[in-house]
Formats: sequence, C-alpha cells, structure tokens
Amino acid sequence: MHEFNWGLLIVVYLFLGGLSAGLFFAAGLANYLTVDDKPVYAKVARMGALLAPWPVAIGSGLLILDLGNWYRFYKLFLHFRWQSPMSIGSYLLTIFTLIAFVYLFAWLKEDERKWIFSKVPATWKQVHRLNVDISSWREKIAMVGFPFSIGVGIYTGVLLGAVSARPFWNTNLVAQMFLFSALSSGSAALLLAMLLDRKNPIEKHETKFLVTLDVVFISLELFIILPYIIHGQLSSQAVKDALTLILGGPYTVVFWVFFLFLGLLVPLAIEVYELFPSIFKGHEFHGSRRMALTAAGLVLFGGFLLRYIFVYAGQVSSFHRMGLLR
Amino acid sequence: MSQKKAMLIDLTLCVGCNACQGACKEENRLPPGEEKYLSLTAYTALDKYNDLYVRRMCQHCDVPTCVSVCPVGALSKTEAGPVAYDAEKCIGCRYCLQACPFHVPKYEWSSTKPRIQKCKFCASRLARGLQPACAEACPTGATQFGDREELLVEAARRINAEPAKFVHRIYGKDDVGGTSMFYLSPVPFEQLGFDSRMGKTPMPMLTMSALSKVPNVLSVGGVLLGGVWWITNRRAKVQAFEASQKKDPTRPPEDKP
Repeated sequence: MHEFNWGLLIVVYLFLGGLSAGLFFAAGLANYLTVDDKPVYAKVARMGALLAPWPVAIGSGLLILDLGNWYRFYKLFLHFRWQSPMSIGSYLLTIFTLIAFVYLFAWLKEDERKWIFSKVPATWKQVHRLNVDISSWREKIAMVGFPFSIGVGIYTGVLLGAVSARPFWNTNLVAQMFLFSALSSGSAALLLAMLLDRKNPIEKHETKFLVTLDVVFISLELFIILPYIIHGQLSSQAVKDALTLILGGPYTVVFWVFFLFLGLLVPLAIEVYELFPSIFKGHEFHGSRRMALTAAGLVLFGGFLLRYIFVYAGQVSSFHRMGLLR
Repeated sequence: MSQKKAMLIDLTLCVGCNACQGACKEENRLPPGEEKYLSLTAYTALDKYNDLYVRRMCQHCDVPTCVSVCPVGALSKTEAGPVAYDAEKCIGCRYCLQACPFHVPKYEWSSTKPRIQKCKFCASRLARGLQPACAEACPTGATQFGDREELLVEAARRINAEPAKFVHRIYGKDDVGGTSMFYLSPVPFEQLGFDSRMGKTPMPMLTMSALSKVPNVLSVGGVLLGGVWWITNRRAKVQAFEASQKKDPTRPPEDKP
C-alpha cells in the first residue's frame, strides 16, 4: 500500500531547496570577486540573484501541498521545537526565502523596479515607500544570506540524516553530501541559465568561474560519497544492511550508473577537461558552449537523482518489522 | 512509587485467541474482523512465528522519537505512560511515520482531513482507573497491566523462577531507552521480528548527536570555502597586478638598481 510515506513531491522540494541555496551562494560569491575594485562577475551575480528565490519558493509551496492538513501549515510557525529538524528547517527556509527575495530586489535595475511599482495603485502609499534603491546593500544582504543558504543546503540533508530509525539516512555525512550537491547544482543551474540567455551571451571568464566553482563542489561531494559508503560498511550491521540497497539492491543501477557516473563523474571529467589547459598549460580558456551545456545539464540531473535515491531507498531501510505491511 | 504504567506481555502464556484485538476494536469503535498487521483499523495485531504469537502495537517509548521530531507538538509523552496524539494540532507531515523505529503510526491516506492512528494505551480508561481494554480481555494473563516498576520486578521474578523457559532478557526494559511494553520470550527476540540492532540509546538522543554535528560542518565548510575564496581572490589580484606591470613597460623592474 503505502510503503513510501514521502514521495516525489518531497524529492522535488529537496532538489529545489538545495538549488536555491546553491544559486544564492554562487551569486553572492560572484558579487564579492573583484579585480581593481571592479566587479568582474556582475552579470553572474545578477543572474543568480534574479533566479535564487524562485526554486525555494516553489519548493516550499510543494512542501505545504504535501502536508495532509496543508491549511494548518501556519502552526509550524506557532511552535519552535529545537529537537525537530523539520521545525528548525521551516524557520530556516522562510528566512532564507525572504532574504533571497530582498536580494533579488537589490539587483533590480531602476526601470525594472519602477515597472513593478507602476502595477501598484498610487494610493497605496505605504507600498510605494518600499520603492527605494537598495543596490548599495547588495554585499551586506549577501553576507547575511550566506549562512542561511548554507543552512538550507544542510537542512535538506539533516531532515533525512537525523532520522535514527532509517539506517540508510542516519549518518552525519548525508547533510554534507546534500550541501555540496546543492552548491554544485546551484552553480550548474547558473551556468545553464547564462548559456541559454542569448540576449547577453556569456563571456569566457564567466564560464570559467562557474565551471571552476562546480569542479570544486563536485570534488567535495565525491569526497563525501566515498566515505559514506566506506563508513557505512564499517558501521553497525543495520547500516551495512541498508547499504546493500545501493550495493546490489534495487537502487544499484540508478546510484552507480545514473547518479555517480552520469551525474557526477562525466560532468566532472568534462569540466576538468575544459579547465585543464588554461590552468596548467597557460593556454587560453576556450569555453566550449556545448561542453558546458552538457556538463551543467548532467550535474542538475545528478543532483535530482541523489535526492531521489536517498528519499526512496532510505524509506525501504528500517530496523523493525513490527508494524510493516508484508 | 512510580506512576508510570506499563504492560507485560508473556509470549509463553499467549494462546493466540485474538481477544486483545477484538477488545481493542470494540473500545476504539473500529470495524470488527481479524487483522494480521497493524493498520488504520487495527491498533494491535498478532504476529505468528511457528507456535508463538507476538502482539504488535505502539510501544509507548519513554523517550519517543515520534514526539521529538513532530514540528508542531501534536504528539506528546504523558506522565502516566501513553504517547498521546492530538489530531487538531497535526499538520500531516508524516515525519513521525519516518521516525518510528517500530513503524507503528498509520496515516489516513484516503482522508481529506488525515490523521495518524495508533494504539492510545487506552488513555481515557487509564484516567478512569481502568486497565486497557486488551489487558482486561486477555483470558490467560499473557497481557498484564500495572505499574512499570512492579511489572519489571514481576518479569524478573518469572525469569528467575523458570530460567530454562525464558530467554534472559526483558525486551523493552531499556531498548531504545526503555518502553512501556515489556516482552518475555522463550526464544531469542531476533527470531520474532524484533531488532537487536536498535541499541539502548533513546532515538531522539541519536538525532541530537546528528544535529549537534551541524555546527562543526558549518565551521569546517566555512573555513574551506573561505580558503577557496581567498585563493581565487588572490589569483585575481596577482593577475591584475601582472597586467598593470605589463601595461607600463617603461617602468624599470623593481629588483634592479
């Protein structure tokens, strides 16, 4: 009947939440990098700021829809229960979404801002008071937002990792894995968006920046996944049993072939291949559009699969048969 | 001494008559009929292993993880022992279903106003000074209701009286930090679908140990990313410096006199 209490909506939400965290992080970082006090990645920063709030806003909406009694979701904010990861997470998510929207507002151009406020009746004076230029706050907002973006990235993993009754999830490494996966999908999504934006074609140094960022995050993610498997093998019998789900069990192919190989190693190889000559041989960075498109797409695909595998495989792994349907 | 209530389930006395399930269904006004597994309409069920019957129901843990993960406090551990559920508070997130190591809570999937269903330990009967319906209905005394401390003494007494008959273990005494349902068995519990891998630590403590790692991860990650940023930034600065050097070829290099 219902072997899976959490389904595809949760997978999509975990992916979108992480995506926003990664987008905000990459965009904020781009905003900070300057040469001769001139921002070199301003276009990246703007694109990221404009994109960042939307996935998490949609994801939160899905999350509320997934609740059985969705009209009672406000009760989440009448309580604060520090023992419940979901309670902590709902606050984190809300604060992060708000910051991301303020950050978006700070990146709007003068005419865009005026256009938005032209849609508001002129008599709503209090609303029109918000029509101010806060572009000078960009760095400060990004600074405040960084911890929250990382928090959201970690939280999506902690939500699963803190459940002691599911051995497949119950390791500290899941949170870090999800964080790095979120950051890498964020920079990949940013790369994809900039490549697809034909009006302002992406410049080579921007591609190089995003590809470098992605290589760093994918490598970090890889360094978490391998310990996760080794650590699990050396851990208690329950965790070892749970890992058979991806080591010979029903999730083996999707984990090794589609996630690890196609979603992680192939894009990593492409990106390293692209970067290698420019970093170690002093050649100019070519920035092949097709290569970048493929790598970014695959990273996003892999990020989604990671959530899929964890949400579904985790729910199969369990201790007791007491209340299980057979 | 202790006001905490519990039940002792002696598998050697159970004959599998299913009176407990019948009484439970009557008490909770559930549709009658024998059910083999826990469901929305069976808060207790008998599981058969060879010639042994094992009662399944909410264990009413002392430190319940369903309570700790609930973001809105719809589940709570009451002083008398029952883990109580308030349907009016529940938002339907199903985190308790994920967290329960015994897979006890069941969710009303087909309802538009879904609730969780599970054994209530007959909290309303307990409040009236009665024993739970299942314990009252049990004809052989296989399910016995009483004070937690007294039942522990009684269970130990039974094991000591007939050491050859029982496995020397009271399941629930300290498993997952102690529960309100004690089991005595003539065969190892692992053969009866109980899981010995769960340990003695209350599950919420394990959750906290995972949560407490978050600050570490944050700081290590912060330092790491700060390092990455510093290196990238420095490289950009060096490049800019070199570029400015190239622009001005007339200026003599600084290391020459």
